[in-house]
Amino acid sequence: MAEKPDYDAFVLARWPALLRTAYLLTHDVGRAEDLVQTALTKLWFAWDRVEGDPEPYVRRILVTTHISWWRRRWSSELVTERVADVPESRAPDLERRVDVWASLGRLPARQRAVVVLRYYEDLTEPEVAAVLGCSVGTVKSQHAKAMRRLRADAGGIGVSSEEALP
Amino acid sequence: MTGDFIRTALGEHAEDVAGHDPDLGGLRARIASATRRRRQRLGALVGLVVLLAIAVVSVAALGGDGSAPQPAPQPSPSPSGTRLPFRAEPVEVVPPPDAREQARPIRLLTSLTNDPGVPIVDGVVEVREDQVTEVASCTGSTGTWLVLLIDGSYRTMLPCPGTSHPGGAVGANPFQDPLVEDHITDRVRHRVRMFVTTTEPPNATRAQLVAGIPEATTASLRLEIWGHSPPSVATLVGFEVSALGDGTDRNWFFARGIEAPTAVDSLTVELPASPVDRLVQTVVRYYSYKPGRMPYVEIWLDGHHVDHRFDPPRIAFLDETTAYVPAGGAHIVELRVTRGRAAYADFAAAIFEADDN
Repeated sequence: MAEKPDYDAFVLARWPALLRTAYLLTHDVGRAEDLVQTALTKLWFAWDRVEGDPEPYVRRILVTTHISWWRRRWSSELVTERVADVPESRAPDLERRVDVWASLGRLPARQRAVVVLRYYEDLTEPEVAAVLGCSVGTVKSQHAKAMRRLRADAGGIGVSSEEALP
Repeated sequence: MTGDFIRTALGEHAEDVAGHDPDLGGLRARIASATRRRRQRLGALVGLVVLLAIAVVSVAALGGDGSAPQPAPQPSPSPSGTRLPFRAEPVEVVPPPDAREQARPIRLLTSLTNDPGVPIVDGVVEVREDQVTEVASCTGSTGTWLVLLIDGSYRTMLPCPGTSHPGGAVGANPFQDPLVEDHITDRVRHRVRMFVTTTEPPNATRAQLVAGIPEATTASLRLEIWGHSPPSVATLVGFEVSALGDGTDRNWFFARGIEAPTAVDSLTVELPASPVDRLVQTVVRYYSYKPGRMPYVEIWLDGHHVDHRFDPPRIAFLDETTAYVPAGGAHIVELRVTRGRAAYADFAAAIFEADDN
C-alpha cells in the first residue's frame, strides 16, 4: 500500500472527532467505528483529488453513508431505538438527557443528521446543506420536522410544553 | 426542550466513545483489501475490454448494417486520479449480449433456526457474496419479542405474534450497495445471536432484555441470509457496472449507458418507448473537489426535475441520482450538472430495465 504520511496524520488527528459524530449518528459504538473506517477508506482513494481541508469531504461521506445504511436497514423493519445501558439512579436532568438520546435515536437518519450537524458540529444551515448535498430549504424542513418530533416526545417525558424549541 | 439542551445532551453522549483509539492496523488492512479487490476487477475487466474491441473491429470490417447500437469501444478503466480519455461526443456503452445470463438473482445462502423449545440461537454465518440481505422472522409466541444481534450489534427487534407473521430485517452487510466497485469489507464470518424475550425492547436495557429470556418457548425463530455477486459487465466514467441491481425487491438489469462529453454541464438522452419500467441513474467521477462545492447531477424528465438520491440500485456510492421511468411512451431525459464546475467531473447516465419475470 502506497505511503501517504499526510493521510496518516489526518486520521490520527481527526479520528476522535469523527468517531464522536459517527456515534451520535448511529447510536452504536461498533457501527460508528465501522462508519468511520468506511469513510476514511474512501478518503484514502480520493486523497490526491481533494483540495484543501479533507474534513468536509470525509464528514460528507460519513453522513451520506449513514443515511444509506439506515435506508436499507429500516425499509421493512419495525423501528425501535438502540437499547442503551442506563444507570439505575440518575438526576432528573440526566434522565431528560437520556430521553433526548432515545428520542434522537427514533428520528429518521436524515433528520438525525441535521440535528447532529446543527447542534453538535455547530454548522450553519448552508454548511449542513453542503454536507448533505441538498438545498438549504430541505435542511430547514428536515430541521423543523425533527424538532416537532422531539417536541412531541418531550411532551411525554414531563418537559414543559412551554419550553421553546429553536 | 431548547437547542442548548439538545447540544448539551449530544455533547455528553459523544463522550461515551472517549478513549476509543483508532485501529490504524485495521484501517490499513481494509484499504489493502479494497485495493486488492479493485485490482482483481480491473484485471477481469481488461479481458472483457479486449474481447469487446475485437468484436467491434470485426463488425466494422464486415460492414454492419448499423440498425442496432454497436458495443462502443470501452474506455480503459481509469486509475484513481487519472483523467479519462477526452470525449468530444457522448459515448454509448452497451453490455455484452450474455450479460443477463451471467447474472444470478439473489439466492438463499444459509439459514439459522432454533431447536424446538429453545429460546436462544447462537451461530456463525459465512458470507462471501458481494451483496447480502438478512431476513429474520419469529412466529408462534404471543407476548414475546425477537432480538437479533450480528457481531454484537443490534440488528432488529420484532414482535413475535402467535400467528404466522413474517418479519423482515434488511441490511446484514452495510456494504451492500448493489453495483459499487469497492465492496470494501473483508469480513466473512459473522457472529449471530437471536433470542426471544418477554421484555419489550423500547426503553429496555440490555440486561433487562436478557433477563426476559424465558426458560422455554413455543416460538420458532428463523434467520435467512440472502446474497449474490453479480459480475461487472461495463464501465461508465471508469466505474464498474454490474449486470444486475438490487434483487431483494425487484431485479434491474443494466441495459445501456451514455458517457457525457468531457467538460460539459448537460447531456440529453432520448428514451424510446418501452414495455418495461426503467431506471435512469447518474454516476460522477470527480477530479477536483472544493468543500461545499461538489458537483451534483440533476435528472430532468420531460422538463420536470425528478431525481432521488441514494435510492437503489446504485453504480457508485457518491452522489448518484435516480429517476424512475414507467413503462410506456418515449421520454426526453436531461442531466444537468449543478454546483462546482463541469470540468471538475465526468458524468454518465445508466439505463436499467426492470425484470419482473
